[in-house]
Amino acid sequence: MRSEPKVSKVSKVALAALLAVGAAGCATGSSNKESWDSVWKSSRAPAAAPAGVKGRPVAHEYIPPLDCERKARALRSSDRNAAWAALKGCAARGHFTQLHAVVASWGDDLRERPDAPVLLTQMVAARGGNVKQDVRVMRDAKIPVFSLRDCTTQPQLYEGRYVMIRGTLDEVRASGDAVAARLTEHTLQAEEWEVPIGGIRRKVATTRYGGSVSGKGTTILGNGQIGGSVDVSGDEYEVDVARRYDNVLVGTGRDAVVRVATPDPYLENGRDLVILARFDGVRPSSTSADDDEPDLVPVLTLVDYQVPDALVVDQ
Amino acid sequence: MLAATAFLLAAQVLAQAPPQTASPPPPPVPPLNAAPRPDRSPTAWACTVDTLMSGKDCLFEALVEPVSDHAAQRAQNVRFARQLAQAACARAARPAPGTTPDKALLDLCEKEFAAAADTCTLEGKSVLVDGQGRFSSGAAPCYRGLADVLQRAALMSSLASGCCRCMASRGCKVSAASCYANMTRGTPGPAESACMSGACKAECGDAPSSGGKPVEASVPTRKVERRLPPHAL
Repeated sequence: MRSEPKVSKVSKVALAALLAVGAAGCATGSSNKESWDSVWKSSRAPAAAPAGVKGRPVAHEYIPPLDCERKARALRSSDRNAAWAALKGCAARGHFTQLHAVVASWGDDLRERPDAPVLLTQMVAARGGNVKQDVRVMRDAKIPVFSLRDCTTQPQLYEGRYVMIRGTLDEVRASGDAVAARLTEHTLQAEEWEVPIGGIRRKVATTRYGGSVSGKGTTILGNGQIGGSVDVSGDEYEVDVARRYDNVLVGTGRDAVVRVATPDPYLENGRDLVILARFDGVRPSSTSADDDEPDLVPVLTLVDYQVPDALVVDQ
Repeated sequence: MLAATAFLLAAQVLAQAPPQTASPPPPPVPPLNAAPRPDRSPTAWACTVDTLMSGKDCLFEALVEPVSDHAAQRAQNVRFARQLAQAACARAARPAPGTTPDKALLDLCEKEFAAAADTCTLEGKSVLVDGQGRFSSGAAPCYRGLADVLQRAALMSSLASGCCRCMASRGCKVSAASCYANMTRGTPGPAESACMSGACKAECGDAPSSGGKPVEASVPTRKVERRLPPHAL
């Protein structure tokens, strides 16, 4: 059994050490990243202070997420708990999007540690919440987090497993202590559109054609005169456009009922969220028209949720 | 005086103290490689008498124990369903919220509800509802039968109640059952049409011309959309 307070203490120490490395890195210049390793090795002592920059608060130093993960990984050989705490520290600083690196190198920790599911949710949300893509990344690395589609396809196989969904919660119902809401699943989809760039050129032209014809006693109609004019006008616009691609949310047609174990005033109805839940099987719905083949609704238990970042990370 | 001050002080201290009945901390999140342990207990979306009466969609989930005496259970299931008739129909037969139920429609509804309740035996193999009033998964056909009766009654009360009440009070020779059914469909019979154009014109509106399309014809008859369409699976 791990002692949580101990881990927490280790976490602070590891993060301080990481930050010290970051401070040293900043001080030595971004082109000299390899020298961080030597700084790291020499400043592993818990009392490591921001050696590079005097008087500057450590917490304000910036360590790029990839470097942060790499530094945390370097700790694993000597202190696995401290390394994990450092990795969590990387995620806590925000914009930590290194899902590929984490699932590739931290697989055992992700499977064994009880705080790993929440860390994964944080990362997927920080990457923009492209859950369909990121669940596939986890699945490929044999990290057992699945999609709602998996669960509805083979409910018995996935019962009790973790499922990650992007969607909105609405229609909350309570019965005694039990609270549950309807979840509507969404997915990100690229949409193409055109945006005008540069100035607009407008050409306006008006042309008048006129004339008259007259004749004298040469026909059975006698003398006559014909006259008239025609105006031709044109109005042309010319504008350069560029194609843009944007991510839009579209419904997948799947929904579920999510059990909320503890009341959470910050769980916002109608807001798009990255949701981590446990799949508790399917139940027949009252809206089924067919008794022999009833419509089945997945039931989930909420574990964690995060607000997805607006910018989607592909790699 | 001293006792009163001490009491007030104690009350103030108690008021500032953290509540004794604080909710327990949430259970720890099991790691990803933990043995799967689904929670099969019912949720707040379970089908209950309340969802039956309100018409809200719900899930069939209940804590059901095995039944030994099937004959007794069969009778008990039907008895329970029949007991719901009065309260459920009283709600469905109200033309508008806050109004009194339409007596003739109430009688019709209760009769149909009782007939539907007779099919709620579940063959005595399972209870109709569990101890918390949740319909079991085997009760789905029964639930839908009862819900259909209530939906029809609610539709009749909103579309035909005023007109049929008028016809009954003016002594028109129409049966209540056919009046509610025909007026809801928008296809009044000869007796109803005669009364509509005379005494109950204000309540019933103009009688439709013969050969007119019934109201139901304009309602889409598409099957209820599946929650999990086959293409999604």
